[in-house]
Amino acid sequence: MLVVSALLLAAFGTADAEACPSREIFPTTDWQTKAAPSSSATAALEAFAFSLTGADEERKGIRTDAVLIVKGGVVVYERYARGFTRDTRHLTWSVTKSLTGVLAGVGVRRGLVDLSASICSYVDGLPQASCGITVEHLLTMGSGLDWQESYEEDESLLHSSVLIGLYGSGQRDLGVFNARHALRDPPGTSWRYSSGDSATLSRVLRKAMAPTLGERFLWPTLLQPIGAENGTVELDGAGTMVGGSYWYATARDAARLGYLALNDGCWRGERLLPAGWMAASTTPNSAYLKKRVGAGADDVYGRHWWLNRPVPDIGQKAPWPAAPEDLFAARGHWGQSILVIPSTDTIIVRFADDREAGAFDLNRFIPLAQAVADTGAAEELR
Amino acid sequence: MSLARLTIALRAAALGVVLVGSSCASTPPLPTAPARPYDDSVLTMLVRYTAKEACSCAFVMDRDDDYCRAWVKASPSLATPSFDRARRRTRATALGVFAADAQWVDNQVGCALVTP
Repeated sequence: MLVVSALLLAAFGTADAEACPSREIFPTTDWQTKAAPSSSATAALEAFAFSLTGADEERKGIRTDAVLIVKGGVVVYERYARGFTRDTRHLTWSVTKSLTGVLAGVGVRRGLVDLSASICSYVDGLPQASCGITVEHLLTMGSGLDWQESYEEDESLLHSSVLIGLYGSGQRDLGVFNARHALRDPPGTSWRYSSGDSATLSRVLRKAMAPTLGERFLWPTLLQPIGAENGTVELDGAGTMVGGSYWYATARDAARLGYLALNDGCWRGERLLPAGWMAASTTPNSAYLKKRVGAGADDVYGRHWWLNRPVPDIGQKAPWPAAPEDLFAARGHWGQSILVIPSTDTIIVRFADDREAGAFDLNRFIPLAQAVADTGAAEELR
Repeated sequence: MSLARLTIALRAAALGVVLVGSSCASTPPLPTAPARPYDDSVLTMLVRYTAKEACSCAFVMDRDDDYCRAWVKASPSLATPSFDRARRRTRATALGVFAADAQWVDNQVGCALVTP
């Protein structure tokens, strides 16, 4: 049968786009584990990631709370520090954006969300000026809204749309607060990383999905199917998931989101995301290609995922040259990350409390973690 | 006085101006076209940050009071959280005038600010 399928595939040259990638191992109530043996690879990883490089009370240096590595669907390395454990949920900050982006895919798959529709067709009471923004624009951080993405390091806290949105007047309805910002550029013509666009996206998803699926639609449509149902996702003052932040997850549950993404949005043969969704999510988006506002040197962006792909047309190099170019990542404040590497079938989760900007070098960490993944997998084959 | 301490003292003094200027203001409406800087009180945001993040630290991340006090410490360090573990509630206060509360709701949605 397999041979026949392979022959048919070879003959016609295309696979059924709807088909899920073949994959036998999926975590059930928990991940399969195969502890990586102590090796020079684990020693090198731990010397880098788990040695505090500054006085703890000064919050300097590398402050890793968890590293979890999955290779071939099996946990091959796992270590916790600074009081965190396998069962502790950790704040993921903006890693949440990737969860929200995937949830948008779930909504599209279920026919409840139309990427080309105006946000005003979902959310009432938005200013007319924002009605040219589509769901796709939010997904690509291309709304053009003049949201100011800065955090507590900024000297002028009252300039930060993020802080006003989480703790100030914008908190009462974060997605609407974002949409009430002036347009900096016409929608779809520029990219700017924005927690506001994730918040408005979350607002749209709530309006689209809650009426038929209930206010807690995230759990039955996404977190429960992938077995990450112990996650906590906090709400703004209007009862909407904040969208750009506040997913609290164990490292093992965070890896499940990575594994869903790695498997093209399929889980145990069931397609949760539309065919082609992950491919589009891991390609530099059109707003990004047109113009980048406030972009850092590491910023290559798809649809709510960070990418490691070079973009020669705009002179952009791969952000982490020591890692495979097909790596894509969910990334959050203070060092949170879910790194997905399809070409090596590897997921790396890191939780941390890195308060010193630039203390942790992801480009050094990734090859060290990949070496551990490869050591663990090799051990299993013996 | 070290430079860092002086900086903190100056920032605290600057915040005092914000305090005097806006502590009596009622909650403003959602701005239609926010201008920067926003018309918010830094100290109100600071106690709300501290209360909410302390609540989530204690009741979502399941960490102890000492860890969570360090977790939410901001610069300038003017807000102090307190933990009511029986009610799963936190309060943060600053300068004896500003206060905010956060309440754990349930396992799925964690903590939220309690709006007065």
